[in-house]
Amino acid sequence: MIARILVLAAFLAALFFGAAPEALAHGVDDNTKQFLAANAGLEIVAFMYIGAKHMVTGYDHLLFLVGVIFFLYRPKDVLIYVTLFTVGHSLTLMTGVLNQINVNPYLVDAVIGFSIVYKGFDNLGGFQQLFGKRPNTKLMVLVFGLFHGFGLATKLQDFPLDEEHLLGNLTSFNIGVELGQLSALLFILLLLGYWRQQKSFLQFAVTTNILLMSGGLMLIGYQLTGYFTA
Amino acid sequence: MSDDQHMISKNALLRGGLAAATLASIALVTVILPAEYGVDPLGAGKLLGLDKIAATEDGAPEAPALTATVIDVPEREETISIEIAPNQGLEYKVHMVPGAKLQHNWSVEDGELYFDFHGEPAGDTTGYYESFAVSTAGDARGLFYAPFEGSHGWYWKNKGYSPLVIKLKLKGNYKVIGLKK
Repeated sequence: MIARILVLAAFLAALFFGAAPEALAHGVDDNTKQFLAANAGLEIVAFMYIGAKHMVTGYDHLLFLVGVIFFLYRPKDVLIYVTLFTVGHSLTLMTGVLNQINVNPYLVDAVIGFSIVYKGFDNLGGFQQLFGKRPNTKLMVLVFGLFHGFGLATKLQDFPLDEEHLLGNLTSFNIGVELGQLSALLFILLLLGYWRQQKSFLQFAVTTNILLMSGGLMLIGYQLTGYFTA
Repeated sequence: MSDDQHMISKNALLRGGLAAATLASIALVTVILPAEYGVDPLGAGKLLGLDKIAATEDGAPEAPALTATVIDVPEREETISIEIAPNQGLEYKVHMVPGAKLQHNWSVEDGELYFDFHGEPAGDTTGYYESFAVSTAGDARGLFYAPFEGSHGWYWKNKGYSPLVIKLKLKGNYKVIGLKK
């Protein structure tokens, strides 16, 4: 029963965020841009919303999350890995914006694309098979989390932020990111949980991870082209 | 071997990797790059009509023109006191070019008011204006970048029964237009 309600809630949330056409364009849409440019003062809920929306519509973060939890069956493991990812991206999001560390958005987003390729490859035992050794998965999630955080930071840094309320607005944005991640995660877990009970799961697990790698490669190509042409 | 991976053979891994790379290359060259950047080596984007997306994005009136004009307007700052009689409304406006910066901060001691922070495009005679913030708060501050050339500023309406004084502090690249009824 609870599971059903959760599915419904997650579905509605996805519909709500997904219904907006601008959701197709990852980044910040025009309305949000205007709000950020004219923004004055402390806007806790508004920044939380922008953070949550960015996460729920940010397919790069979601693809990575899907990859990370794809073969995690125990809730405890999901919790550990998601926490590591959260610690990683929060760290660089906060310090990046507060210390005005400017990283190139194209390059960061290319690394984020690479993190998806890595996870798909890792899920298929690629490292073990080809190199006989697998990089520590927990450490890698943390490290790639750091890059995802820089990616989040660049999205906010595009805009003139009111310095006086920077910490408050930034913290709100970060909390929003985590709320968005949590709702997306519930949705992914429910779908995965259902799918795992089907015979098709192992059959398509390989295909899915190959598609993940492909999606990551597309992001890399997309961002690197942007880096060299823009 | 840990259980959180699904190991496949070297052969399958190679085939999978190749499939992933092929799919990604096709999607990039035929759809993503033409639509996003107008980069269209095979002409597939043109065939699918996707090159138009990149063209419209590039055509948007943005960055290049504005950096040049902003520098022409020297930075200035001032503090202005504006008195508004009961039940009266006043406007204070400045002229700004696109991308010009305005740090603003205003407050009122006490009293009830309504304000609208907005901009009117230069040369427009239709009375069009764009609101950036509307509220009944007694103070507001922020950093504003003009999205278009024109007069930008505030309309305050005193909704109380006694006169009120607004203290307005400005700093940025603008020219004063001043008070308007």
